[in-house]
Amino acid sequence: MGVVENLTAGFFQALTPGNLLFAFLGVALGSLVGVLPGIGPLGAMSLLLCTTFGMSPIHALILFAGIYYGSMYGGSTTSILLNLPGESTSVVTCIDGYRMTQKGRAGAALFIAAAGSFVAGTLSVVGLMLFAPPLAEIALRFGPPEYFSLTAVGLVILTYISSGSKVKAMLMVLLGVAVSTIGMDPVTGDQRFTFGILALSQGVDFIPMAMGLFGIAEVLNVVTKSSEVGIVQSVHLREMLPSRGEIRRSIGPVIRGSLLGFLIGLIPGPAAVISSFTSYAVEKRLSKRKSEFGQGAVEGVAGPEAANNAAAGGAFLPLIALGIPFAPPMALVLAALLIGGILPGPTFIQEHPDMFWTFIASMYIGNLMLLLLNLPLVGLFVSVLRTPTKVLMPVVAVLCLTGVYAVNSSSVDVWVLVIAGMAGYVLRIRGYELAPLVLAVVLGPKVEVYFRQSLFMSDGSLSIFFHRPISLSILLIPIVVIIMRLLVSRVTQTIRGRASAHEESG
Amino acid sequence: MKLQAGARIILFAVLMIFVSMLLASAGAGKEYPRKPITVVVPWPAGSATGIVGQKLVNIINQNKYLTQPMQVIYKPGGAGTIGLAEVLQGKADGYTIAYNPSAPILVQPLVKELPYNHRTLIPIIQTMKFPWLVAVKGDAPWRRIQDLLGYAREHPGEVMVGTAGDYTWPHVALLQIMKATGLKFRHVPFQGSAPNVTALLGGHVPVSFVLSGDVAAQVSGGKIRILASLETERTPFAPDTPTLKELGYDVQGTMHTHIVVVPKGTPDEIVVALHEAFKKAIETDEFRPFIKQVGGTPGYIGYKELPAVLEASVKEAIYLLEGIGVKVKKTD
Repeated sequence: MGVVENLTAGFFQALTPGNLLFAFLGVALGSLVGVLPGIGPLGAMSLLLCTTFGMSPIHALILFAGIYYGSMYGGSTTSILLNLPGESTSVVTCIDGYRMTQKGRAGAALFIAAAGSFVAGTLSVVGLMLFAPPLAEIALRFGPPEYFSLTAVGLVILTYISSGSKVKAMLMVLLGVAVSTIGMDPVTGDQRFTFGILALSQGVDFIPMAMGLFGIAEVLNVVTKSSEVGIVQSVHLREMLPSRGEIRRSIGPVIRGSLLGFLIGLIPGPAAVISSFTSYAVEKRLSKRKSEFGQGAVEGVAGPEAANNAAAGGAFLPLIALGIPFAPPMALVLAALLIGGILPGPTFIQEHPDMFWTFIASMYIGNLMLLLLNLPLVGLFVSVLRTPTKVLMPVVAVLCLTGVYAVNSSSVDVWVLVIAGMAGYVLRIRGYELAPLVLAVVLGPKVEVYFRQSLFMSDGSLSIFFHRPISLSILLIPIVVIIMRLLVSRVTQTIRGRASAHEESG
Repeated sequence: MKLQAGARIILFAVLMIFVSMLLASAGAGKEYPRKPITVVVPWPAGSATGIVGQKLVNIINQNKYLTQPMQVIYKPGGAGTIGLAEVLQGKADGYTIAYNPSAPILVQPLVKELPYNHRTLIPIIQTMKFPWLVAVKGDAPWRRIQDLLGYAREHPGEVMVGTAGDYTWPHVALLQIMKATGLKFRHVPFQGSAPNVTALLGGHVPVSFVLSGDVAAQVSGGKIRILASLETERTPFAPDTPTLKELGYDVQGTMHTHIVVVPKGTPDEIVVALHEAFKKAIETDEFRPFIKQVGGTPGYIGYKELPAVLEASVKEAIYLLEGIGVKVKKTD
């Protein structure tokens, strides 16, 4: 069979010392930038871009790919341990991951995150390997109206992931969208809400907001609680590993998250982010332990972590199969390939089969490396928590402050961090969830751009969203879900009513 | 002759001052650049501007035309205005420069509130020109541009044309076409070329105005077909496709070029140094075939002539825009 032969050949290539070295470098760097709040895979790739000339293109590809999906592994570490999301894709992991840490299950959470990421990453490479061209064609069918429907429904899903009041969550989503409008209009470049402050024309960046709302607010929270607060962490190896029950509960979420993440990853835009919280919402919906979500349900870590890794794999598909980058990190991978003299296009797989299969094999290897890298480090990471709070909190605060400045050297970012931190502290006391807010800041601009592009296409008519089958189906999902819930509860009530009437008369 | 202690000290001090001045002037010979230079490309990484900018920077670094390395950073947004505005509001010390297409410099300050215009910057060098082309999907029913125009005549206001953004050159070209042909098209601005090409491939827009560099791979793969050139001359990238001008339509083409710019107030020696580096890069044997590969044409203009060229171009752009009926702001 063609695939097996090609894959074997690919493995032979991928296991050469040069390719192995770059794979390792890539995933190690990726994990590092994922763990460090502030710099992300995009920043790392931008900085390394000029080092790629002189490199053979396959090395550059393996390196950059490793950085990208490696960062999905690392991003969950600080989310789980410190409630500090390293990437926008790990915001959702904070919700249950940090609660697990507070319950002493940090090791288990980290373990499940790493294992889930490995499974998801591997599955997504399988998908990439087998289905690249046909899936690429399907991905092309999505146009601005479909992107709008997806991101708009995403905003709706955001309100569902919170465990508290839905109204408050909706308020947070709206606030997030409002904040995202600050800056230059993405279509025309006109200034909005900048009040003449030039630095604000870049808009409010995700990193300072997230680090403020989660990191600084958490520091303030811990600091203002009782001085005895410390996070109890077990040191025994057995207790650092997930229990059998936890593993069993994670299998479903990981599989579902992988599938969801891979498919959503095919779409341009913030696919990995959308897949992470969609997975969370799906798991919450399907779980028999709904009330545990938000209190440390392991499914809330397993699903999203699998989803964001699978989305990273899926993101490569349009680049490899069509030659078009769908997300900014992919654009940098494209740039690296161009520097190496390769112009990826629709015929990339046919013209460079050796590169393609070596790349695929290398991704398998890279995922394995990440697993082997991250698992033993779980113990190390958990021991970080043994630092007394009065040392840990200031360190986190300083890390946030300097990390934020390191990204763009912009003092506006630091202000955003501080203001978000204070706002986050107040909001949490009042029972508002922060994940919907910060994720809405990420999604908001996209929703707006796609909406306006769609209206350009339709010459102002809103019917474009309903006339196109894919867009219509996506928009109907929340409606269908609501109707089904109503129906199911009605039916259950009727059955119960009949049963009790039966008992009484019987 | 034995010197007195005091005299010895004074002699020593004078010697020290002399030596340190020598050293300082030798150190001053180590002038710009003293640290790595950031080149901001206000477009996504895979865009035509990005590719060419990256290539030039690589050539400069490889051949060490400057004593410090250059580093490309991509800052897309606002149809090229956000990254450019940031550079032009930064320090005029030559360590942050922009590699830019000309529309954000020539066109957009005329129609938008922007914190810069063509006079608040120093253009260093124009590197090359790119033609804008009319592209359709490979399996589209129109084989010639006349077929497309005929279809548009029968379906006024329905045919969507995707461009790379609001008031970028393709948008201006579309406005020109609409005026010259009297046909109504629907403009769909995307954020850069990648979404534009994606939408074309996916069939979401039937026509896109693209740069040769954006679609080179797709054209050779047969997925995209070029129907016409929007410029005043045929392009070597697609030599069999006519220009709209030769078909009789008054389409003046775009003035799409790449220009390196720095903020006003940047010292002259930095301007000269940057100019020399880029000029050498575009004359290398590596760059010339590269231009062909991406479908562009050479178009060098140096820093001495550029300000006048830009002035003339802006006047032409004003004339163009007003002729199409676009309100133009007054430049000071």
